[in-house]
Amino acid sequence: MNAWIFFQIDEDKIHPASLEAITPAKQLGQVSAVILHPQARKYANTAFEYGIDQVFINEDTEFSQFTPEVFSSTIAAAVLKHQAVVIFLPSTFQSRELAGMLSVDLNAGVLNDALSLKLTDNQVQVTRPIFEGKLNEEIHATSVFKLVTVRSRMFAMPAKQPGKTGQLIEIEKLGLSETKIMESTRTSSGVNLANASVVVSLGRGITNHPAFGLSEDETSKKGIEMSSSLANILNAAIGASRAVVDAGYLPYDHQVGQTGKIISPDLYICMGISGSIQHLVGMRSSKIVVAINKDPEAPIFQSADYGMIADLFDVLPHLTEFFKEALNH
Amino acid sequence: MKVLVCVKPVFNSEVELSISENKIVSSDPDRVINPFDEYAVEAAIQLKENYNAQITALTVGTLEDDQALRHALAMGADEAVLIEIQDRLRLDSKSTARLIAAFFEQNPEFDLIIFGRQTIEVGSGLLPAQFARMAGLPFLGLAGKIEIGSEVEINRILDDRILRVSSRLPAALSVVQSIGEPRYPSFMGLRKAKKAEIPVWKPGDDLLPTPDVQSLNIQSAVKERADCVFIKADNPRALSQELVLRVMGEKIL
Repeated sequence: MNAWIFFQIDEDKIHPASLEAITPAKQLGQVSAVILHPQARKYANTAFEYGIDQVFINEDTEFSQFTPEVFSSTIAAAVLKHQAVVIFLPSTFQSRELAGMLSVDLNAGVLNDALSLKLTDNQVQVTRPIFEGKLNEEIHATSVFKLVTVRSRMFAMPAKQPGKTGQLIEIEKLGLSETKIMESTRTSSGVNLANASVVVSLGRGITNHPAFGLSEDETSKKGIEMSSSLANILNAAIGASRAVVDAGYLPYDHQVGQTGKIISPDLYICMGISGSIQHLVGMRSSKIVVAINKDPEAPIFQSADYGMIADLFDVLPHLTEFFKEALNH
Repeated sequence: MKVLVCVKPVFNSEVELSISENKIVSSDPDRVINPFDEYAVEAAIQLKENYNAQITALTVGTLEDDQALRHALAMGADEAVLIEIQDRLRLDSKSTARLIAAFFEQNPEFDLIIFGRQTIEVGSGLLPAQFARMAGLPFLGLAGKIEIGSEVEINRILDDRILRVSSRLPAALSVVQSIGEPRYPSFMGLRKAKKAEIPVWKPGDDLLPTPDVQSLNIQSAVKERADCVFIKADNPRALSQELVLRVMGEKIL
């Protein structure tokens, strides 16, 4: 069964979920990558090193921007021509748009957000989380073509084989986009929340510390500043509860939870977060959870491995200092 | 201008779900508007305020599935329509997209078709793009701000950047949180919504849901975490030191 992986390229980086998808894809047979980007060859070399033997490319300048319509038309035609059967895509917001269009163009069933994948009687079976991770559902697709989407950090990154090469195959660009991208503004350069192995997450607790005698706005600013020092030491991304983003203290892309991101880092440190169900659904698959809250009754402690009953402002400087020491920075 | 906003009723997040004979049983059968769709309705109402848009809320479901529509009406949608199907369990995103595209073909007066980013049930987030592709409309995904001139312009909110994107009308959109917090229904709105007659659109047999993904098995997924170990010490510094020791002992850093 020929499997392809769509390589999502963001700002000069291959999305890690594209590389991680190599691991489940190899269970199906030969794995190829498809890369649509003005510098596709450069990224193809990386694909080869991670164990892919064949990369389908197009280097049209239009592919410097992601337009799902053109990507879908181009990939669908190539899939038909080169007889791929299963196409893997990262389960990012952008690639989901592509998966949606490809599912129409190829009349393909979508096995979304695979937690695991197996081949039984030559049939691809995927386990996916449903109802915000409360349940796991095993599914398979009855269609000829199948799409599989994978979240970051669900499958192991394959080993790198420096210097390994492979075959490049040009494919034809097809389709038109009726949307125009007029302007692009960078909004953050921090560690990406979805891919981060450590996340420091902030809740309502950052808005209040009586000893400071500051307004909520000023206190929050200070709290975010202090947490950023800790996050730097841990090479962590900053997360937040809905209360914090709704109040405008951090942008929405930091939100962890129901209407934000669902993440599973190795270490999740939440500070001043009480732990509503809407927050828990976003982080409960984290490996180790540390909760810091001054309220001993906060529900977050029921979902934590380590708990500390303390005001986050009192412990933050010390945590930063001791982690710095422990990690030999 | 006319706006179609697509909404879905879902189980509340707080409910407990269990499995009985491979079927999902909820501790509370009542359903509420999908939280992501509240943002879509909010976006539509902003268009009503800014551009005098006329809003129709749409759902696909059985005749009982009117909860999300009534919520949208209470928030300020002008009318509602329910695309009736018999078996909600067979409804996958592609079949939903096909039904809404067929409705739009017969009711082409809409300038914008707005979706929430995903549901909190399957949560694949595929529907908006599937609909756009089937209906042959330009697709503006992840909109955090919507402006209408001779074209539609949005802020497309990505993780590390915001894009300014435009297209012709009509167009399909998916909406994200940056649109602003959804407003609460007013008392008058709730009363109006409760009494509203909801027209039903019956699709032809050729549009019956034909899911191409099948469920083999469903299991509870919530892993019990061992009891929380509370770090104990006399002062913040000692607490912090002890916690760092414990975390380092997990060998994950």
